[in-house]
Amino acid sequence: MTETPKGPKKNAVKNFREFYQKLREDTRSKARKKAEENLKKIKDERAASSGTDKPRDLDI
Amino acid sequence: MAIRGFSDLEGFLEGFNSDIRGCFADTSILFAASYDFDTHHELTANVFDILSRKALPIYNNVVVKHEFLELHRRVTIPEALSDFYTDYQSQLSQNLSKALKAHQTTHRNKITQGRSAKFNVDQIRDFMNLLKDFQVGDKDGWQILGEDYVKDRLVPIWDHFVSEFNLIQLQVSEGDNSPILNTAPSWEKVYEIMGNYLIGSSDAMIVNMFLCSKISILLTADSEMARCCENEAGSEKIIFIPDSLI
Repeated sequence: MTETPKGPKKNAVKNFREFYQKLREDTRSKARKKAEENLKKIKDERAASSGTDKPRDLDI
Repeated sequence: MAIRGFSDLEGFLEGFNSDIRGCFADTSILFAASYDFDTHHELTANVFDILSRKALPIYNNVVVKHEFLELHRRVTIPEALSDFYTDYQSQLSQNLSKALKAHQTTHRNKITQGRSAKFNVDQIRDFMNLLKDFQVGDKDGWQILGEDYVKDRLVPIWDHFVSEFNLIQLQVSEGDNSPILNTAPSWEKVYEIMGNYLIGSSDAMIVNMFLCSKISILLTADSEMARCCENEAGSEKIIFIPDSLI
């Protein structure tokens, strides 16, 4: 049996706006946490590489 | 007159009778309903509430879906770049930092002033090239932007939108018969519409589908498309647009 076509749900624009704003906030919040991890990773990588590049004392 | 303002929609539907109960909605009006910073966003709430009360189904085609997703990509990337700059500014090269800072200022001004903050494809390509030089582990900045700032916002929107608005997608190939159609759409007509009105191929495909259908109402926020449909269909079809565009 074919379903009868329906109109949009009540308050569809408002409901979708709330969904979209939540999506925006949730994504933003997850991205911020990920960025904090990545910034730490960058700092650790730089610290490790500056440690490696540090000139050793000449062994005379 | 075939073009009317949205303020006439409810009154018009009181006495509306047609073979097919429903209306065709193009990308501009569906995008406006879905994106809170669009110029016409606020007025779409009333339009779709009227359709809801009248239980009037909304038809569209795959071209509308394609354009809807593309428009969301083009507004999400600028927002994402602004957020990316906020989060990573301390670690960016001077060149990238300067470009992102300028973008963030422009983007915020556009949003505040209610202007379109959509990127064009050249702007997207420019930032893609710049972000590829930024590296965290085995990922570059463009991958980070996609995976962390954009993907989760793009993936669910079309399906959720379809469910909320009960959209019906007309799926018709050239030569197909459908109870919704008066005539089968043809590519020749698409070329003709493009040539006569100099509109893009996607818009011409949407116009062509609407003209071939038994659906007599078009909702759009694109005045060029409205005038093209008015010229092609005469008084057989009614086109509703924002009153400010009449």
